[in-house]
Amino acid sequence: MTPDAPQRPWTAIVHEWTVTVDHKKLAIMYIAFGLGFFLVGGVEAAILRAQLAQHSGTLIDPDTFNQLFTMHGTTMVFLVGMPILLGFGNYLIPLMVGARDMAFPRLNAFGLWLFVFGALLLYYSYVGAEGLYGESAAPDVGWFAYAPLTSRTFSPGNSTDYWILGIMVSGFGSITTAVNLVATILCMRCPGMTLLRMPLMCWMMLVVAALVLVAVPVLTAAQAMLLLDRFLGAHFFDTQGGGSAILWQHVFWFFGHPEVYILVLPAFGFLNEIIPVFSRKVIFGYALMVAATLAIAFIALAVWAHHMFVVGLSPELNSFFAAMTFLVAVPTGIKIFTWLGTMAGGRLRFATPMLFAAAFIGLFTFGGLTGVMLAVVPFDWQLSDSYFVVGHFHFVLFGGTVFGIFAAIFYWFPKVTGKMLDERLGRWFFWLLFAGMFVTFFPMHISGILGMPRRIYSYQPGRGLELWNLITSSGVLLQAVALITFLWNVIKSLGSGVPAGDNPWNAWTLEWSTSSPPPEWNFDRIPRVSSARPLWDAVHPDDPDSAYEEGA
Amino acid sequence: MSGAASTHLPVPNESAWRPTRGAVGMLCLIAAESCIFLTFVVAYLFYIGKSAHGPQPRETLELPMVIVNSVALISSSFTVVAGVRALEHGRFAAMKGWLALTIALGAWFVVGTFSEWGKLMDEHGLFIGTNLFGTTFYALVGLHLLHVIVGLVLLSGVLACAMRGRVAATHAHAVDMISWYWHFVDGVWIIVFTTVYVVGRASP
Amino acid sequence: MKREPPYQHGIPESTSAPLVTAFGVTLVAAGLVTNLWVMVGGAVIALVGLWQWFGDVFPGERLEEIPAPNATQRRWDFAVEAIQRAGTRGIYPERAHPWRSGILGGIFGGVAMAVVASIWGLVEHSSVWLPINLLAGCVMPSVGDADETALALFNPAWIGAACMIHGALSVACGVLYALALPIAPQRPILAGSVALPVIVTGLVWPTLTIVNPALDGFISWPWFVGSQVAFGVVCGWWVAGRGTVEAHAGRSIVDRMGVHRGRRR
Repeated sequence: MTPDAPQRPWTAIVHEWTVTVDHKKLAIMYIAFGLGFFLVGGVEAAILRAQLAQHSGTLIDPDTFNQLFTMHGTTMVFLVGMPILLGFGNYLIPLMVGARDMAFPRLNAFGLWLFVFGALLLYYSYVGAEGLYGESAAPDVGWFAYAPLTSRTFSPGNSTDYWILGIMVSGFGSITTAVNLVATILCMRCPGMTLLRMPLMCWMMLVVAALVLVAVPVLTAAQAMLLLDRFLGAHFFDTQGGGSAILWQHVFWFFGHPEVYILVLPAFGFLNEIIPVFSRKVIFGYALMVAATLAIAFIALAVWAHHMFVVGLSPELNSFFAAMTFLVAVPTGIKIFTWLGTMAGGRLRFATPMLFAAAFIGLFTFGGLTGVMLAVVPFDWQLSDSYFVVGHFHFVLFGGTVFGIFAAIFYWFPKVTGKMLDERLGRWFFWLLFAGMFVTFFPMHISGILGMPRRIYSYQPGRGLELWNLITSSGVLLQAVALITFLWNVIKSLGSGVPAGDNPWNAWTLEWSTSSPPPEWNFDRIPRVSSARPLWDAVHPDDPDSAYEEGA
Repeated sequence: MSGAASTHLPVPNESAWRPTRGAVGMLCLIAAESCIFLTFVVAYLFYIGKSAHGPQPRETLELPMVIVNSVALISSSFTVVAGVRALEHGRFAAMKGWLALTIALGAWFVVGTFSEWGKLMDEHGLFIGTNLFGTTFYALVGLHLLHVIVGLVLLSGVLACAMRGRVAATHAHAVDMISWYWHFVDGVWIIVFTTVYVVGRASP
Repeated sequence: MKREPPYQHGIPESTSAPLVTAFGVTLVAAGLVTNLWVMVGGAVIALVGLWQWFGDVFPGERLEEIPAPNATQRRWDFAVEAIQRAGTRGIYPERAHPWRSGILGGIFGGVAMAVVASIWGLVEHSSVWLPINLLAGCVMPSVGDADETALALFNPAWIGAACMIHGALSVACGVLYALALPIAPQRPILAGSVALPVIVTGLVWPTLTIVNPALDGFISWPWFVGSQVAFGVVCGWWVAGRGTVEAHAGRSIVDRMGVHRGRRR
């Protein structure tokens, strides 16, 4: 990225990037790494959909199918969502709070490399692991690895161990990054940057980091127990030795549900930055947004058993978790209205980041509403583990998280590289991806209601499933074309993109006050701020935001 | 007004609350570790009384020895504080003494735990795979033991540096953070002790 | 504990310690599934990395100097023109409908809706109670088991439940309507009589079999939509007729409470 890069030998560049502790370089590696695995996970999904495009498919055998959906889920959650979102946090938080680096730069590098090596360890299973059917077997127990399927009896060999260890190592990576984010946000703010003057993105990342600190260690602990079971003959989840398979479900989902919010809250953060800038208005209800985020974080810790309604817990427990799940929709709804309130009456400018942000609102609301439907216990009994659920969480995680990520990429690419992404290709990309996402994931709701279970490698003709599955599979092609457009856009813009300047979107937060790309030390002078929109204040000294603050 | 002047706007309402990164980092680490311990504690409580066969807590766990170990561990929290105070005031000899005492007390706990385990294995035939009690007991106590050992390594590192005269009063904050970790390890022991030896033995 | 944050005068030097340590840690994990010696090697590598790491921060953190800012350094004035072009502060919505009109609008709309529903009951099933009893089916499973004769009779428990549901939903819809009106196209009664019924019917139609099977068996969609329209028209007429008050979005709480000297526009 440095201007003199072409003159140096490539070994020097590789060396520079491997030993760096600069949060911006590390973040770029996080995001590039995540996008790379996004393609890998996408290819896995494409193979799954090719198999299911027609009834009685024969493209792959059942065992391969199991491995592919396990790796697809694991990859998308742990190796795509987490690193990209933490990567954006890494890049933006120090710039937004006016710091020169993260609080623990070396720990930051450590976290990145744990992610990378953990991912390699997981994927090495395709070469080195032994599974149910012999060698070269990736994990095939599903991304939530329910007991007792993971016991030695049902999962011989070590493919499941690769899943445990790979995720454990990258889990350590996310914990160290979370520690770093909290410390950076609390300790590294520049003079005048009070907590309530931080960009909302910082609040979202603070809450996300707190959730990571609470949720991921629980998964690590559960995986440690599973390792004890598998290697030392302990009985935590060994149903034959008196252990409980339900305990795994409780512990896994105690991690798993907050994980969903870990994956979506940073995307909320992107929207909180993008929507005001493209509406030319202050965010509507800053304090409300902070409060809603905190409420989501707390409630999210008490909804996990809505993944377990079909287990047959007591009616009291089911009712409690259903009620908490309804409750979490309230602060989420507040956010939706906060964004709409920001857009209302604003001077909207639909550049590509804003297109993705606007689509996010609709798609996420849709996914959220099907989530509320699934929180109705009898409804869930009917549709649990069906394609309706698959459709629901893909609307949330693809329509939400992935659209948020692309909004962020289009918004901050100029800052990171100094070049604008091409708007025309960007629009093509948006509409292709939007159509592809709808064509892929919407029919899943219908095939689910018609009785299509998830995680089956084949289905019989004559049950009304053929059409919906075919439509779903054909959407993959649209998405593939869209992603090619995106890659072409990135390559083209890196080479011959329009120079961005410091503040191409006329934004107000500190990251836009330094050069694009920023120098290694971020700011020549540590900034001092007196409101939540320092650049607005700099430009409108006669009407600064600080005059509107409480007690001003 | 020019842009140059705008960088020198008055800064009202500056928040005085800005903790050190070491303190925040250590507290975050402690929070994460607490969640790991919590999971193991929950598993222990969940499986109390569910071992169909084999040794049970009431028959096997003996209080006198573990109480002596616990007293050693808990008192090491006080000695480490004395060590940090000594360092802050530049009394290096006293600091080395207190640190050595802390390490000795911690090591006593480790040795004591291992000898308890040896007794459980030899006399009662309780191993990690014997029954659910064995599984949860060794996992929870072992997890704690691992943390004690890590703490001992950290404290020994500080002592080693101090012996070579390379620790200065400016490092007091870093050493203080290590002592926070040590307090956490001790505090967790109180919870583990209550879970394993009090609640576990009281239940049928 | 107020101290200067780190890295004010220097940024940390590059180091390979984290990379080496992470590699070692991963090898330790990989050793479990491959070979004990991999684990031993990993532990050694991790220790080397940690030792190197220790050297980076002890006795003091190794920092690189930041070049002194020169006279031509960037300042914030670059964006002055762009943002000034983009205009001045906007506070929207400038005016909003008060909560009270939303609550009352919801109540009046609810009454209108109940009237239409009762007319339907009288005309098609010659009972005023039938629509009310059917609404209670949302929460009272016994309604689903009752036959038409029972449904046409007065039943205090069902009526009570129905009134509570109807009241709560009407007030909630009225308040939402009043809050959303400033950001909707400025045709309050049209929004109430077309958009609201379309949305509500769209939500109810696919889910009714699950939520309220009793009602699903009886429902007449034209009348259903008609009652929604009645609600929307009355609610919209009331809320729009009460006028707006100044909105306080973007104001401090002190301002909003009127305690402060006040910065009225």
